[in-house]
Parts: sequence; structure tokens; C-alpha cells
Amino acid sequence: MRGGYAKRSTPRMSWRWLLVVPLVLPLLVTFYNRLEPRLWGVPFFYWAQMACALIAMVAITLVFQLEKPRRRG
Amino acid sequence: MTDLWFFAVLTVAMLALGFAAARWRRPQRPHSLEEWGVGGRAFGNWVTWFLLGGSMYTAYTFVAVPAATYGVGAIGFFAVPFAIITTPLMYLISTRVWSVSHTHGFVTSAEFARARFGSRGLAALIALTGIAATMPYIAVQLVALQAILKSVGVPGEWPMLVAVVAVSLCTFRAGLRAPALLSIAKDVLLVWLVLSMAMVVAWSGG
Repeated sequence: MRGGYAKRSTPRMSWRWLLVVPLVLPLLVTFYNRLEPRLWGVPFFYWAQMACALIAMVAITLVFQLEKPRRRG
Repeated sequence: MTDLWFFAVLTVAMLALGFAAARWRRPQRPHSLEEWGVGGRAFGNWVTWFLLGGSMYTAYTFVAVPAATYGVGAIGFFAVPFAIITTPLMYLISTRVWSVSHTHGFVTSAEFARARFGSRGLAALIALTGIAATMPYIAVQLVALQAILKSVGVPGEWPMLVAVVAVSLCTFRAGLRAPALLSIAKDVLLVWLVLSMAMVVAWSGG
């Protein structure tokens, strides 16, 4: 069955490399394990993680929209 | 006492909804595995979105992780990067699995593995792993449920067992329809919770 699933015309699969960003950022603990700079008084440690969640959301949305096969005609 | 009444009313409403789920979009053949396991593949984007939200925001998210963070400190923050990392990974894996399963009519990941790799042994292994990996997760939910019941003044193991039996019956009758419908109700409560928390924090000055 290997390779049995049809290769459909899905161009531009390379956009999914964008997902590396939200995959790697949250793993760099030493980078966000600090207090400054604060955002509205919230230490960097907390708001950086929330920012990572937003970055992941943006990256996934971008990949989905860019890889979505265009409707023809 | 008000807490207890409020809790009881909410629980009864949720249970009624869970049992009513069996009647929601009642299919032609309600006893097929496809109807039970994946809601007859009839869930659209919205219901799927709520269902995913429902499986992310559980007693683990609301009780276990905050309690761990409160108890042991920043190590409890493993949960945030963990969720962030798994989401892009699952985006890659699950969209692929979804479209293949949709085309070939698979219901479980074991079926997918058997067809993809042509191995019954691998399929069995995946099914067993799925069951085994769900157990600690369910255990966490039960412990959290017990903690919630205790905090509204119903301690002990019996109330928890009653709740578990009720939830199991709902799911047994309605399949994936029960958690899907309950997820929508849960998300409404969630928005309410977040707004209340925001108001409490805003009015008490942090």
C-alpha cells in the first residue's frame, strides 16, 4: 500500500516549513526565562509564552491559507 | 449552599444535554461504528472546532495544571509550550490522516495504520497504545473531578463514580455526538468563566 494514496495536485507544500518557528521557539527556554522586558507589568516569561501561542496561530493560519488548493473555474 | 445548588442545576442541565445528544441529527443507521465513533462524518467546521476546544480545555487544563503550577511553581508551565508545539505538529499529521480516512472510510487510527502499512500487528499495537495512553489522562480527569466535587461540598468516591457512570452512559448511547454537543455548552460556560475572572481581577486591582 506504500505510496498508494494518490499524489494529488498539491503545489507549494514548502510553505509548511513556516511551522518550524512555533515548533522551535517554545523550546528555547533559556531565551524567555527572564523577567524583562515586561509587558503591562507582566514578566517576559509569561507573556513570551502567550506570544508563542499567537505566533503558532498565525503560522498555522498562513500555512493553511497558502497551501489551500485554488478553486478552478 | 448556593454553590451546591448552582453546581447541581448545571450538572443536571449538562447531563440532560448529553442524553439528548443521541437524538441530535439522528442518522439513518444509528448503530454503525461510523455514526458512533465519528458522528457519521457529518460534523462541519464549527462543531469540529468546538469539539477540539472541548478536548483541549478539560479538567486537566482547569484543575490539574493550575494546581501543579500552584504547588511546584514554574515547572507547571510545561503545559503551555507543550500545547504550542503539539498544535503545528498535529496540523501536519491530523489533516493528512483526516483526508485519507475520509476517502477510505477509516474510523480509528488503527484502521489507518493497517491500511497504510499493511500490518495487523502494528494496527493492534496502535489500538493498545491508544487505550493505554488514554488511561492516565482519564485518571487525571477523575482526580480533578473529585477535587471539584469536594470543593462544592460533596467529598468521597461515590459522587465521582456516579458522575463517571453518567458520562459513560451518555457517551455509550450517543457516541461522539455527546461530547460534541457538550463541548458547545462547555465553551459557553468557559466564556462566562473568563469574563468573570477578568471582572474579578479588574475590580480587585489585580
